[in-house]
Amino acid sequence: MIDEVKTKIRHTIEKQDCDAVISTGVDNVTYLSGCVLPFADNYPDRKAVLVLTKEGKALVICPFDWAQAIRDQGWEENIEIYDENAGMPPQAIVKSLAAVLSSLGVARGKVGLDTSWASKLLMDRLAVSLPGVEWVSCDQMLRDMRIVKTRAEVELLEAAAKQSDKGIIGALNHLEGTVEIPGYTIAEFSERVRVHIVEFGGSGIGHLATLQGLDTRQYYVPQRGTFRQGNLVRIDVTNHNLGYWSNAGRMAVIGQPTVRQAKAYKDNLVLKAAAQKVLKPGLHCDQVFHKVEKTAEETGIRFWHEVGIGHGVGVSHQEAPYLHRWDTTLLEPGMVLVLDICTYGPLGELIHSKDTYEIVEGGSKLISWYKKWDRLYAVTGFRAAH
Amino acid sequence: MKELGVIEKVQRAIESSVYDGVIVVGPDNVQYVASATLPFLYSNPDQYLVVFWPKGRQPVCICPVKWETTVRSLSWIRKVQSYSEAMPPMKAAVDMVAHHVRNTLETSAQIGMDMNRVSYDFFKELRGCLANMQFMECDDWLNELRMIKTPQERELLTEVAFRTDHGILGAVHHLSVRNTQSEKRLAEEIRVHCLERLLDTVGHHAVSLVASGAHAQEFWPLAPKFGIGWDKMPQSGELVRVEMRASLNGYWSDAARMLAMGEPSLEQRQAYEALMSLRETAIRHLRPGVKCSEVFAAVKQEAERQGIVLIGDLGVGHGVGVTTYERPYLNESDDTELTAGMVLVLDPIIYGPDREIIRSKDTVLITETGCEILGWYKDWREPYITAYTF
Repeated sequence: MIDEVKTKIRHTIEKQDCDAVISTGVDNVTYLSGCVLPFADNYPDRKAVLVLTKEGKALVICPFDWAQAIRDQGWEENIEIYDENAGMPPQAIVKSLAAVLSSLGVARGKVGLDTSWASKLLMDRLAVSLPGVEWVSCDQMLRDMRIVKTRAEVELLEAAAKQSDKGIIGALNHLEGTVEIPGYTIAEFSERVRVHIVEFGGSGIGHLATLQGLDTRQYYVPQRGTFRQGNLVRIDVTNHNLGYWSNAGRMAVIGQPTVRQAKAYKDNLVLKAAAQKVLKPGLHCDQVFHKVEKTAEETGIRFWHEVGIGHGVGVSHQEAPYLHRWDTTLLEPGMVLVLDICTYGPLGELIHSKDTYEIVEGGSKLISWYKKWDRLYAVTGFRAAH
Repeated sequence: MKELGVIEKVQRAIESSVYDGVIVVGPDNVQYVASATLPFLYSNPDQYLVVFWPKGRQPVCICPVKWETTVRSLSWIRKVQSYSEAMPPMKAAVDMVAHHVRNTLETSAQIGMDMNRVSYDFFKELRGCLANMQFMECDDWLNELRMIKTPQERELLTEVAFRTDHGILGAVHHLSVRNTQSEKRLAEEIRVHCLERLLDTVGHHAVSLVASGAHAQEFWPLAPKFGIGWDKMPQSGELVRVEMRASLNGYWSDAARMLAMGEPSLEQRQAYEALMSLRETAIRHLRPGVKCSEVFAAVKQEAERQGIVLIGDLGVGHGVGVTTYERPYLNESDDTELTAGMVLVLDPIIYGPDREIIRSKDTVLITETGCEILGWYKDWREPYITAYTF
């Protein structure tokens, strides 16, 4: 686990008006333990729970097969394996958690829990098993801790962002010259993005979608079909680097872009540049949003304002703060945000070129470019294989 | 997923339930009732896709505006209502759900909700908006529906299991005893062979894993690069565990197979035979009317009788469907009675001679009289034995 994060967590917990803090959210567990759980989001009935006491004791409760993975990632504190044979979900983990809290002497104390993650049923069962505990939400505390990154976290996020960018470029490079029949399938291209990210050191892939033509008007479609000349292509991918995520999206065109396609891409960059100018400490997230809104009005560039223009990134693919009209969070050095401004192509395609920025003194630093994305990537070539 | 007979089944179940309406929030439950493949839900934990299904009426799918067209095109649910992201997502989603509920149900209505999925905060917010309504837990009700598959779901699960097995075999056919392919490479080959069979391998959960020799002693080697694998070449004489999870139209396979690098040693053979004997025991008990916990107990007892160390902490199997790991669980605490139409992954786990984790997962259908193995591409009563080639 990153030492700076460990220290930050310890100091924050010490200041809390709680005897212990418990996290059940996958991202929170990763943040507080420094360990990535094996595809935990996809096992909704299985849980890992992290317990931190005010006195500095720490413990992870998890299923049998996850324990070794947690230990292998350097977790030196206790691990309590809960017996999945001891009751149907969530009863088995409740039983284990109740025993742990009793042994730590906080079964009659005030305990913080990430209630934006913990299920209603889990809370009900905990209330029955631990009637002496006063439960309070600790989501705000966790959010505030996570929102400003340490230097080491920024480095992990920068590496993750570049892994995504290299992965996309690597796959696009291979696509060149293969767009004629038989060509790549969309699924194979997506897989190549994944493989290239792994080759550049990525630890795992999350969302992965390649869309072309009219499909790009959607957020996701199943990966089917082959590339076709003239289509705009959007590649969206998230990948993590030792638990810290990138959230990338890039555009390409099969063949040389039409004038309208090239202009649509440039329009997107105009709004992004406007946002980037005000992405700096002392401004609020909603002000960045309004700046883009104003620029869009002035230039006549349409953007999809309803979805916002970006968000934080860290141990989750997307997290606070949100570059939206409703988020008044003050930008501070150390925050890492993804600018994600969606504009429209000639056929209503959703165009974005997501970039990751670190907020630094006086402004922001672009940390996601492996190559310059100031022009639309044209996938051309004439060879039958590449 | 739209033609799997799930829609009619859920509709009928709601009509005969005690609920005036059902609200579903868990990504797995949402994919089931919406009959839609939505793998991105797991990458967006701060966004909400909710299905509200009132008794006697058509359901409505409530989602962020950016997912609206996707949900419309992938789900059979015609009424898709997006919430503006111009306010915090939880508040936006709750407001819209509450609006639909208020406009559809009486103020004293009973609402079923998947309480083992919905977050406490979301529930509290919704409860605040619908103060007079009675919220009830409907997790068991939903699980009952999901556990027993329709004929079309069974067919799809058979297909995905078969193609995954084929994908694994296709990849390992390339493997030779000589050091020609690393664990990492083989893991990728398996994915590619699954893609060739038109399976979906996108999404965080579509994991391939290859672990040989000492690496096979761990469930999740090379943390946190699970499923990416090492540069290590499987060596002659080693046991190799290969795993793959893939999906087809939103339904999953959960596969694991053992390879022997060259002719297995006597101890390796004995270990595999021991695994097969536990598997046979389970199969003898897998029939309607038997409780899951009884299947587990039978396997455990057989292991004890033979002196086999069963890694029973994970049970000996589980259901599979819109997720790779779901109810019923073949473990000590699940008293669910097996019923014809359930599809399970049978997965007793033991140790090999060098403490490797040995498993060979079979997808099985509970039939009227017993069970049927689905999707075998080869006869797995023997491990795959790699040839000595060059």
